[in-house]
Amino acid sequence: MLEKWLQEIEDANNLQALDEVRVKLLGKNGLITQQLKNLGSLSIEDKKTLGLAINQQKDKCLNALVERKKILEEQAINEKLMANAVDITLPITDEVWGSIHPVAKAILDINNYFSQFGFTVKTGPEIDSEYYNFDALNIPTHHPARQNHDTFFLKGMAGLLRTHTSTVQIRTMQKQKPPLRIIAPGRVYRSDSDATHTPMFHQIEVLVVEKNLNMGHLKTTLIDFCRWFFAQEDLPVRFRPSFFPFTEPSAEVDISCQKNKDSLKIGHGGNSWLEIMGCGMVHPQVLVNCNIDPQEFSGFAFGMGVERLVMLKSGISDIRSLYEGDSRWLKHYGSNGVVA
Amino acid sequence: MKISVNWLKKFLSTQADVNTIADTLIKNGLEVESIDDPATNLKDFVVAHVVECEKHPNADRLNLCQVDCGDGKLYQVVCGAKNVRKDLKVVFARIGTTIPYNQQVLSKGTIRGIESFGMICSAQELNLSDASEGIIELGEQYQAGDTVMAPLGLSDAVIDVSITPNRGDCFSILGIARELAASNIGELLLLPQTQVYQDLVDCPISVKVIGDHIFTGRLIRNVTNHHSPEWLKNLLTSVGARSISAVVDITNYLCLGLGRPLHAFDADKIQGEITVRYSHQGEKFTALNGLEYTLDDGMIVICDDSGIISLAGIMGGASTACDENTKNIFLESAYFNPVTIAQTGQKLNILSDARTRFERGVDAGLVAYGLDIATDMLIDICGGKPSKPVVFGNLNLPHTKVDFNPEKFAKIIGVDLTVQQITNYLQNLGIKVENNQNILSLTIPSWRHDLKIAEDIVEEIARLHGYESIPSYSLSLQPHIYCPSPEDVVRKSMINLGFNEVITWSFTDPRSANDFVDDPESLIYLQNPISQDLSIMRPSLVASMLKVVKKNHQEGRTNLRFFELAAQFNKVANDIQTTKALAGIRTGNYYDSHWRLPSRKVDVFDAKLDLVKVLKQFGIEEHSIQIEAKGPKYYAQGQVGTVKQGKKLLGYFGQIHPNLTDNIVAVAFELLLENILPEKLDLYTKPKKITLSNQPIAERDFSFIIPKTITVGPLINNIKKINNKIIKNVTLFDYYLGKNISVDHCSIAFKVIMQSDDHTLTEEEINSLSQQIINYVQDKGHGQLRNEKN
Repeated sequence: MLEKWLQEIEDANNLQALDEVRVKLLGKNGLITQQLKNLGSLSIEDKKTLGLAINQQKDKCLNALVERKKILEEQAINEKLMANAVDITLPITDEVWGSIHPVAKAILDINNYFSQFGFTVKTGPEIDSEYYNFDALNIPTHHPARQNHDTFFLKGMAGLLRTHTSTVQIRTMQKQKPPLRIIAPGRVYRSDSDATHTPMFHQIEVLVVEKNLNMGHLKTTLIDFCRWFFAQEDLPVRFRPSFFPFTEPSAEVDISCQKNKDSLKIGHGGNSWLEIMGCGMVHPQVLVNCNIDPQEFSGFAFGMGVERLVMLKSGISDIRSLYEGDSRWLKHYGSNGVVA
Repeated sequence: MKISVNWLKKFLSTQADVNTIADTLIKNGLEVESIDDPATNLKDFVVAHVVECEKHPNADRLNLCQVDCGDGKLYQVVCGAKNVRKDLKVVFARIGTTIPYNQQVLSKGTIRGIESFGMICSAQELNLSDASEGIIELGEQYQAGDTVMAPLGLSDAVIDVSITPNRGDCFSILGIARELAASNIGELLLLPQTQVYQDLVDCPISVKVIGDHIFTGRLIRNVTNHHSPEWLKNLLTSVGARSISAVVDITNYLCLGLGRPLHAFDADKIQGEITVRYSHQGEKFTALNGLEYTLDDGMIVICDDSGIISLAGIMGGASTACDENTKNIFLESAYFNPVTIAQTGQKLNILSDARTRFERGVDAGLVAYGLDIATDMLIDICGGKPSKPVVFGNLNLPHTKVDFNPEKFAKIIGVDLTVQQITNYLQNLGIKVENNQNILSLTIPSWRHDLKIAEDIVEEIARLHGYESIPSYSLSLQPHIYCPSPEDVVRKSMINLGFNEVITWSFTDPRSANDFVDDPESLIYLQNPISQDLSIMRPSLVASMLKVVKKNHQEGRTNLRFFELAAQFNKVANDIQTTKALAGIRTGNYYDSHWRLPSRKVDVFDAKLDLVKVLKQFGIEEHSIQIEAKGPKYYAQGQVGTVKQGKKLLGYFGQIHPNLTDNIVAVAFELLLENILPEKLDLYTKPKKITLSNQPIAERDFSFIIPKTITVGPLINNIKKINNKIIKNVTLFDYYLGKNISVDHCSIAFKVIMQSDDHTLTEEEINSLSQQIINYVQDKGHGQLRNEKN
């Protein structure tokens, strides 16, 4: 009998059917219940042996019922869930997620880089005076060097658009005594507009004024920076003498690159050099202009055009595309890495 | 500045090739822009002499030649050209030479059983001609072994050098030669000796000089101003100068070669005497370029009785210009104050070779020599007879002296050099060095106006020693003190809000600028803009951002989210106000259409939310700001808010005025960063303590009809204040205008969450608080209670 019952339990394919089997076996008038009831009429000896057997059968059936119920319940839930099944291949959409302009990102990264070495970020006004932009930087009024700056002047009032963020050097040195390590990013302006020049661009100026500083410190700082920025630890970096009125000695910094017809690859073993920034030891007159004793302190400074660095690193060839705000461009070249 | 290598060799004896010369210049700090060397492809070709020429024994059309190419050997060559013959001078390629035409390296050949050790070349094979017309026949005068450049009539190598403003001396071939000699690329040749003329008459033109100038000049009579000789023409054309006439060419030659500007006047056109003086305002002068200039006070001019005949150091005058009929010339060589020349040149905006050199400082030591060598060349080329020179000022200006402590070099550069090494480098530059107890007393040559202080000397030594040998030193370690700038926090919240950062021009055009200000006087104009479109400093970031927005929309890219973080500019009573601002613009639909996303246009509340979210990043909560229903005129009235905190203006939000957007739906917000940003973000601010109550929550919904004149924002905000402790939150969940409500009323419904921190709220407490809320809205909001739900 037990075999048959267990089979019936097993065959119940829904919870209702299972319950019917339960009632049939274990209900008030169920087959097993009946058998147990019938025990009363038997001898004690028989009651004992037969009762044990019936109870064992009952336990087995109960267990089977519980097991079967679990399975059927799970089936029922799954059926219910499957009724709500979705097409998981439906296309999803990008989360609304913005981007930082590559120039801003580069400035941020470079600020971060130099902050590791104890530099602080300083800013200054974009409309400035001839004093901060030229005079204090040892660029005399009628010197050809001043003409090279292609300065924008204001109409009908004093003031100019700063041509470099070196203005921040002066403002900082006049307020704060050395030792100093600062980095000054920001917009600068030159009256120049062609395929490779825009009247507005960004510059980062780095300045260190300390005791016992020499050109070797400048060179190492710059080489390390270039290699970090372009992520090439063996990037060849060349220094060549140059002239800036506010540094002496001055140098221009080139990095090695491979120039082919339509391509440019920065790195070791190139066939050409690319100029990326100017640098030098701060001219003693500039220190004097800021009431810093050049006998006691020396400084180095370098300045770079951020657009140029970004374009080289990202392979962007048209500088104008940086300011056009084409939403496709912004999403492509913009960075959505979390900042700060 | 273009440097011809042939010209260079007039000052420098060197075997260096053009690439070595260019590399040395770069290493010395003279930036090489380009090298134009027609010889690159032809450097292995030589002039050869056909010593013998016979018929090839095995081929009728071929010849068998023996050629001499100057290296002491005879080369046997098979040549198929019809025009090859004995004693011809030809262009010859030895085995191993790359032939430009086919880029093949020539190897030994055997032609019809005869070995051939090279090739006699045609113009086509050298890429000098498209068609082969036999071998090139060179002139008799060339020697076997010569390079083929000159015989082929090819110009020599030219290096274009960009000269830094401090190196006026390098605006001459001589200056470049000195640089190369200082780096041991060849030896400087002595300048040609000048003639000593006997029995010269005094200069018949009387000269008066007012001011502190060095001025010399002389009359040269009976010259013939014809064409220049070929060599002179060739040198001038090689560096891009035009040959005009012998007299002009000679002055140009000396200007470019020696850096010594000279001017030749047609003496017969000079009226009366010559006066060098300062100009007066309003004086007119017609220059050689045909343009008339009106002068200011204080420009140096050369005059005759008729007026100004030359703008000293910049450009000669049209009235006394030399031409082919010029017979007598007055030749001038002078030294003028560089600053005066620069000022004059800048003011009148005249560019000339003379100005370029004078304003950077010419070599005062060459004033007299320049006049003499020009005289010699003139007499040599044009004939004529010179007068004695007139001389004003000190021809032998004292040289600059610099005391130099050699230890300074190591201090600045970080390299130890011996005093001897330092001395050698300086002497290579023509600096006289005297050692006085280890302080070097330096006499700077007259052409180096840029060497004034010890640091200048350090640079000279360093560049000759080579920047590549500067050692590496690391900066000392310093604590990492970076903390994110407020701008970076702004950027982070903006990208989290889904905005793309743009960088747009700080300039805008007058029309758009005027759309953004009430007072046109507050605009800041540029004196020298690139164009009208970029002539005004933008008064609002939105001005230039809108241009970018429109361009995207025109090209079909809609639903934009752009932000910019930059300065905007205003003038307030002649004071420039630069304001750092953040602006965010959304356009079109809130989302691009997508099956999962709701479809709706952006509206003013999107801009409000953006603004509130950014403010929150800086600890400014919504309840602490006030919003007024007004704003600048570039927003749509009725759809704009001005955000303040007390008296402080924080910014605006709203829909951009449809007149400015070409029908694009655009909403924007602006924040004046200086008013919301702390100087530095304090990363370590403790957040306020929060109590997390475990007591049961009571929710009550309220619904009112209120007049539209009541501002709902403050009303809702103030409900919380009725009992800040118990009322945890008030949410407006319905706002309704329209059907069943009178036109000047609206319906609002809000949910109030009440919870005590320490006990279960009793029904009485809840009811009492609810009644307070109802009273408040009825009282302050003139509200009419609709119902109360649980």
